[in-house]
Amino acid sequence: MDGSKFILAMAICATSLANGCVERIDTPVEATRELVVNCLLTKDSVQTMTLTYSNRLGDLMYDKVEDADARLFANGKEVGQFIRKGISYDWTLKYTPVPNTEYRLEVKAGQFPLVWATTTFPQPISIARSAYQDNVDLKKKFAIRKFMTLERTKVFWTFAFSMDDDIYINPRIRPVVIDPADKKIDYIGTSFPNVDNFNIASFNDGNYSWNQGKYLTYIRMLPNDDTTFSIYDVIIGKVVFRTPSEEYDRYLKTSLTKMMRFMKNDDPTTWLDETSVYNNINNGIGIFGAYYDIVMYCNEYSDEFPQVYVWH
Amino acid sequence: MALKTMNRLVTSLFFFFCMAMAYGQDGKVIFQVRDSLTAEPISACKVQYFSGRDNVTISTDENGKFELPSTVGKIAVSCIGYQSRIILIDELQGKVIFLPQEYYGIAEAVKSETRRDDKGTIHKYNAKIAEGTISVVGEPDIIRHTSSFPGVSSGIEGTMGLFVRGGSNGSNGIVLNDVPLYVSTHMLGLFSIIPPSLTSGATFYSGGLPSSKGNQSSSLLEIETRHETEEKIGVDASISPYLVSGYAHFPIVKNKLSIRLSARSTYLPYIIDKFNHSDVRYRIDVYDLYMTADYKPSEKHSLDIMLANTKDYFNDKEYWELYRTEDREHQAFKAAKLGWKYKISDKIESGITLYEMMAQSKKARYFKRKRVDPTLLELSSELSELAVKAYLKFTPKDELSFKIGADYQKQTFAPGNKKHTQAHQVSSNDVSQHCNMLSAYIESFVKPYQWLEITPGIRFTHQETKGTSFNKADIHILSHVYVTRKFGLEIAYDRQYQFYHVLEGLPTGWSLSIMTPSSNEYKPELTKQYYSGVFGKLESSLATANITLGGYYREMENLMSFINPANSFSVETSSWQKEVDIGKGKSYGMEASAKVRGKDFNATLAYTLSKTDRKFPNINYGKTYPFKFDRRHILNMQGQYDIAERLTRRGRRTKHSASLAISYASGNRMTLPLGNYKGITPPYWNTNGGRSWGGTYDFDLTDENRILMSDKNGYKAKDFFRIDAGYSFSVLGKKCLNEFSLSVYNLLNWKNPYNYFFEEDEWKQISVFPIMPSIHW
Repeated sequence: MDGSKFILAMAICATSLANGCVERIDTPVEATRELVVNCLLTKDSVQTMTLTYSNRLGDLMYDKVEDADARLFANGKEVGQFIRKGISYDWTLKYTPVPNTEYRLEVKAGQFPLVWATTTFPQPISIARSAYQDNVDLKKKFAIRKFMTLERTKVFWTFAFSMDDDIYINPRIRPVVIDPADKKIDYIGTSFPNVDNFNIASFNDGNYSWNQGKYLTYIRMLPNDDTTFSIYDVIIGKVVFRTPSEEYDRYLKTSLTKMMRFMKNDDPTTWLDETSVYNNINNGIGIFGAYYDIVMYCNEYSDEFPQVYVWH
Repeated sequence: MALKTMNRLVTSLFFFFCMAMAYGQDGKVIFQVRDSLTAEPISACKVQYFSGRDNVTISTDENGKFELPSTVGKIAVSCIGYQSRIILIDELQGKVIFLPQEYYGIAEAVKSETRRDDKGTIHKYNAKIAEGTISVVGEPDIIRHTSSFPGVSSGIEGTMGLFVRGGSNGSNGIVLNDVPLYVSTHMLGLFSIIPPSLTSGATFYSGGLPSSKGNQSSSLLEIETRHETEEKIGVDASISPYLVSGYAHFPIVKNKLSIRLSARSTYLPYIIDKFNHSDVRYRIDVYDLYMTADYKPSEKHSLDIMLANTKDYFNDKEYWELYRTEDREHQAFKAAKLGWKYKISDKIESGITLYEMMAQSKKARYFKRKRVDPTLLELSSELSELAVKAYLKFTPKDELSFKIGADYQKQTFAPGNKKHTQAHQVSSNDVSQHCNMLSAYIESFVKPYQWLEITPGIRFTHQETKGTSFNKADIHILSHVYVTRKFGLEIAYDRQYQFYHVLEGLPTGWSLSIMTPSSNEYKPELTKQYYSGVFGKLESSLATANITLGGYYREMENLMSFINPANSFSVETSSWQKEVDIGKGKSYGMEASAKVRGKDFNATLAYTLSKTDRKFPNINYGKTYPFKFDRRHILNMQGQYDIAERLTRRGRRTKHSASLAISYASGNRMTLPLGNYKGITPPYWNTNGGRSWGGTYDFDLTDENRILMSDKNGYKAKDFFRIDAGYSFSVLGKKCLNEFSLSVYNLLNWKNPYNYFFEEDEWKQISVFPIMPSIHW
């Protein structure tokens, strides 16, 4: 426990006697059952949505919505209806979204009022791999991989996977996909000039001196002019650049913030947590958003291959 | 005929002379008790003397007068709020007995100035009165007493967070002997850094602030240290459950140069060590040291010096098989002040003050792994200030006075410095922000008619910081309209700026580590407040009562807050800008108060009915929400009663007193979890990963499961209720005062909720302070 939380714990415990400073009480608040809609549009040809109901606190067995009328609209025109996939939570729709298009999702289920939300499918960032600039930080022994954004970018997210270094991948192969054997890298760093530090390696982490300056699994890059930047420590692996819709960006950040609050079970400040995960579903709960992924290889540099790869 | 007339005259004179002699031997003498500060007569004072073997107690009437048999040679005079005196009648010059207000500096008073306190917005009190507020740690506290005034909402129970008329805790100004305190509490706000033995009194302004003090956007608490020169050496020592303290004053040059020393420290570490059976070693140091000196080379000149050094240090060391860690947390306040006053004439006074102060908060982590060089990481936040202030006060007559002055403050803020040391290599980043402020003000007191008093003031401030500058004007107007000599109206308007931000989010009253000057991005806080009310004084032979009833309306802009209050504990200070938001607030309410003073008792009552909101663009989706300490009703009642008081044959005065305090307030506001719902896991969350994010039971619940929260501060906690009681016994001798007090905080062991949380499928409440007895001697 770090010093500040230690102080809070001492202030609470050392000044309280053991005679019942914590006691059970009747439920102070009750929530009503609500319709939960989760749908992230992707560049794939099939879109997926889940429909469930919310529960009281502590009950994690969610009931599926058995019957609902869920439709997707693009710029005001209906493009399809979601169909429930077997008996699962998932509902699917065969449709490939178009960048810069506004989408509206409407769901009508049972006695619940009409639930709806909107999002805009994002234009992916324009980014290139600049392998010839790759480097190694000899002092910290980090492998540095270079990238270039080719125009001013909005918010995007970055995360990386390491691969088995016995496997050689031709960097010309498209598309690049994440394999189940790929390992997500826990801490990655960047020299991108404008980064959200909400999940920067914590001062309180036991490995802080090694991970100082790095981010916990995901990096949220903030709007910036075109620039060349590095991602480290990726020896051989894949780097994903995810361009989110505004709604998904807020949802992802607030979700991760909430998760970070509960990372340590001896942390008394979880009692003070008031983070609300972003919700853009009208008359319901959940998220309707979109994202576009660009995945790139990061191999060892070799003269055989072109030095700069631009993704289209 | 002439002879007959002459004889008649002589006979009459002789007769009269005999009667006078007889009267002088068996009759009574009339004396009067007056306030040594204001020369006002003091009613309901207790006068004790021996008549034969009997201990007689009488009290002064509404004119402060009492009758004494002419045979009485020694009396004891006492009154609540005044220093008791034992008087030898033969040594008394005249028939007036002056009682000094307890611990109140005589030098500060202007006897002819009308008292402006106890009318709604201004409250004066001294350390003795502050003792009536029973605290958790059993220590009298000059700051804690403000929580008993109307319009003041307290934060977390037992701590010093003060939220005045909907303002934030960091928006209050606290000034000690002209030096601003940016760190004012020990131990997360449990008690203040100011020893009561050093103070003479305090003035609390919830409105009608003086223009001579600026840079706060809510209330102002001005605390004065004792300034009188001493004739004799005096020593004071006390011990309570948390603190041991010592105080001494002694004259260096009699009536010219005196020095006061004060030291307090906690012995809590020894208690913790006794109960600690783990491998973690703790160390806690909490202390404050003060030195003040007053030098009066002549009647016209006076100099004063103050040196202050306070510290809170917490350290825990953990030893593991392969490494050890050490966490350190450190807060400190240091100040040095030099003041000079020159009484040019009876009507003109001037003064200069020079001070330097430093308030610091630092945390460090030391990490040592086997066969690897150790690492030391430090994050610190600091505010240092060098200032010079000068004023000139002109009082041509009692009904008119002017004060003009100028202040220069040079501040350095360092809200997020980081330093890393590894293998003796040091790297650091310095994010210091320099700020210069120049202010000029004028305030006056005008009494154009017997029934009208006006105190207007204006203060101009020019601030330069971070490549930008601000020019702002504070305006303060306080007015009293007397309908009768004892009843009237009070009207006040305040427009005030604060040129730095303290992050609002943690409600304990602990000085937060993030203090940053105003900038283009974070503009100066602004408050506009209106107040109007009625006041009155009721007097009888039994008691005197001051009553007030009024209402206020306040608007606040450019407030700064953490978006999530939990981040104030774990966010890296170098990245705090991403965690804050700027917004506004509004508060309005009704306040009522009563102070009753009788022969053997005094009591206060304060009631507030109010509503306070906040609105921040990135909190609660930009919708207006209730302020966390929006307590609809606040009621505080305190009373002290002298059970028995007597004068012993040895000339000692013994006194038994009891006190009782009742506090009731609507519960504070909370954001609570309402339920669970299915969410979307983060990208590729379930992909074969390295280290997971903690992997605790609670954590695994949150990767796919989401918690549905109520609206921001949408839930009101159970109402707050508490009764405190105290008993004290004192023996005042010629040279020594012994005082013993027993107090019980939360006498009924009422479990006021600090927070609600959901754990193991049930709701629980944590209460911080159960019944807490303490002894102070």
